[in-house]
Amino acid sequence: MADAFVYDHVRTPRGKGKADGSLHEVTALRLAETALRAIATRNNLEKGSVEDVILGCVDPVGEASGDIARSAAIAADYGFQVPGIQINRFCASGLDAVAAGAAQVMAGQKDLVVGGGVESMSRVGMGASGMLPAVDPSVAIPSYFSPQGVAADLIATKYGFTRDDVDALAVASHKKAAAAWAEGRFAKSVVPVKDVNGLTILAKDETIRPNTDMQTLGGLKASFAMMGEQGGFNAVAIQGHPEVEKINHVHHAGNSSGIVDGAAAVLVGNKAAGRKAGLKPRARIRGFATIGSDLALVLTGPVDVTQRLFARTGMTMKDIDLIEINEAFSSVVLRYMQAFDIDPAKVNVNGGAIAMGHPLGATGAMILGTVIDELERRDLNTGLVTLCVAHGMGTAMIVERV
Amino acid sequence: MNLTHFRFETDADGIALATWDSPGKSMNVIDQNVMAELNQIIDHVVATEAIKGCVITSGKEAFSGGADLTMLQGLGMEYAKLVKTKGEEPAMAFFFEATARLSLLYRKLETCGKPFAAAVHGTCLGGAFELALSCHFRILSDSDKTRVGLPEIKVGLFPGAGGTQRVARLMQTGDALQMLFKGDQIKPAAARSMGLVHAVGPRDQIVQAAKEWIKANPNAKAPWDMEGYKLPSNKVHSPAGMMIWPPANAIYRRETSDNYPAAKAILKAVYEGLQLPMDLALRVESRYFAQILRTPEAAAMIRSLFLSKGELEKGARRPADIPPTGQGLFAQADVRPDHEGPCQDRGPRCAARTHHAIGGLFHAQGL
Repeated sequence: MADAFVYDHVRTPRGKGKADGSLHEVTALRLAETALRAIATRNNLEKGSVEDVILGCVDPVGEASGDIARSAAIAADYGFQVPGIQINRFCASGLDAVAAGAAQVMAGQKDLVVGGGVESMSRVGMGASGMLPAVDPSVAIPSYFSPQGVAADLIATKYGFTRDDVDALAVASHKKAAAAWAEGRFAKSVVPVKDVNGLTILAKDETIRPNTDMQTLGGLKASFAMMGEQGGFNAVAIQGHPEVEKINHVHHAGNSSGIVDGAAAVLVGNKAAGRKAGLKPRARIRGFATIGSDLALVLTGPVDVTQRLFARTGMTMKDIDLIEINEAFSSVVLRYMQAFDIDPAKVNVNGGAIAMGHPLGATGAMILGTVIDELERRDLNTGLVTLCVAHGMGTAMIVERV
Repeated sequence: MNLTHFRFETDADGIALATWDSPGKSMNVIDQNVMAELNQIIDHVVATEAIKGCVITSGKEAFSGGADLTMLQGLGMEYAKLVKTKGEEPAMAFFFEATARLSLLYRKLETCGKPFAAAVHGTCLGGAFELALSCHFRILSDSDKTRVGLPEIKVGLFPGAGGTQRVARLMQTGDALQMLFKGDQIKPAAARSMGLVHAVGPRDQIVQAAKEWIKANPNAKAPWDMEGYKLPSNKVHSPAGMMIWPPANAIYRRETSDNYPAAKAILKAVYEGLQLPMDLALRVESRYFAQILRTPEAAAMIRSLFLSKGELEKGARRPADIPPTGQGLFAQADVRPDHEGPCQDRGPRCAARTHHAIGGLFHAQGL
């Protein structure tokens, strides 16, 4: 089996995913094009040399419809020979896109691919493509479907995280993200989004609030209490986990991932393709896995998939230097650290989606890039990236520097 | 026509009146013979040029209590026999055909090309209300005795003759699901405001009002068979649908712990049916109906809550020598007020509570 290497990665800054966000005027296509063009240009990729562009996109409708990956490759001037495929595993799509590309490289069927993702949540809108698992009784009922916020509250209740616990993690996320930007830790990878004249529209993540503190967050009302009670979802959650007597609603907009716009691209290839393009590998993809996990908890997949990936690679948590786990909701991260008894100093060291936002289809590729940059900066070796996924799934990948 | 369950007459204006009045019975009930006669009536109305349309009413104090549950039970026994003699698939084919027949008959009425109207006084429930729903015009008497509704859910069944599909096309999806889940008997004014019927009037005028409506609407079609018909709650897969279906599925689980196949089948039939034109929607409903009829839950509920209800209430099978047991409620349900003797429970405190809940007739003992 061939090794799959990460040769480079880029991401756009994340713009607030609302009508007053800086990237609201930019199409999803243009976001994806920005990332693809940047990674090709700075690595001097020969036109037509990329064999596939695999992009995660969770709501591939409207302006993100019709296989946006192929459209983005054409818009980024990759050459008509370069195909594209859009995939969707909800929040892990961006990481799954990289994994899908790596798998084909490892299997010897492709030499050089781009994986990544794009989401314009301000323009297309979360849920614009519908949500079958919530709607069709034939799957919603056996799935114990409940909205993710209710599931995140169930996780907090079941595993004993208080409102202070989840708020403290959010405060830390903003502080770490602000510090990382101040020190230029993202400078290597974030490419500005520009207009047709070359004027910069956005160069920095725009949802970080460095001054957020426990008091500010403490004033926010729990977001999912009414929905959980009136919509029947609390009862569903409790039927899934009868040892829980009552759902403690602790999550709100301040300790959940932000809604943002953004795109990312990761260049993956085998050794020969790198040599041919004159590139030095930055990391080797050691392994990756996906899994289905508890349906009522929805968001605990990272724990299960990490166990599967450790079993597959023969590794343990001791072998991991840095971890990026997507901050979909505070309790997801807290549960992960609790399950493996992880030192918080190793986790999301530059902040996460609570501070910088979660552009659904792109986040997996973004935080993979974040962990590689940070391994280099700290001169450490091994990183693990994982995301929880709607409808009870998880994806994880381990990379190591070469 | 050779009719014994209906009287049939046509007035000078060419409006027929079919008066349902099964001989020798206090209540009209839908069985194979009634279905055969209704089929004849439809054929006759369609074939007779002088007949403009037809009003269906009842000659009794009630309209009808609906389908004969023993008929459904009989079909179930026939199915079980066929499984043994001919195998699972032929048996199922027979059962599906037999249990879908009433729905197809009503659809034939609805699409026959001539207007049908139901003039309803008294109880009109289950399959009988489904007959009314398939008519192009429904008028109820304003009498205190008049009630309409689809109570099938209360015996572990669901309306299998078009009820789930027509109700869900007459009112907002959330309201329709609630009506189908509750199985309430609905008063005339409420039925009118819910959009289940078109009009309410004095008992002695409903037949005439129905005739007037037929005269004014010679080419009646159901709303859902007309060009440009829009569902009351928009499409299932739409932002509106996202507000309805996720909580509907959750509330089903909250209320039933997912132990109520008929209620779940209602959800599925409405969800799938609303995405289809009427004929296919009815077929989907029939498929779920045939499935539910074969569930042990439905068989047990029909037996206990309908066929054996009288005996149950008399405590007919309760062993006389076992004292009432358990935390009040069980014992209350289990025991006749004239029972005398001990009641027992897992400890003196529980037994005392049981004793208290039942009343003073017993002496309590802990186990």
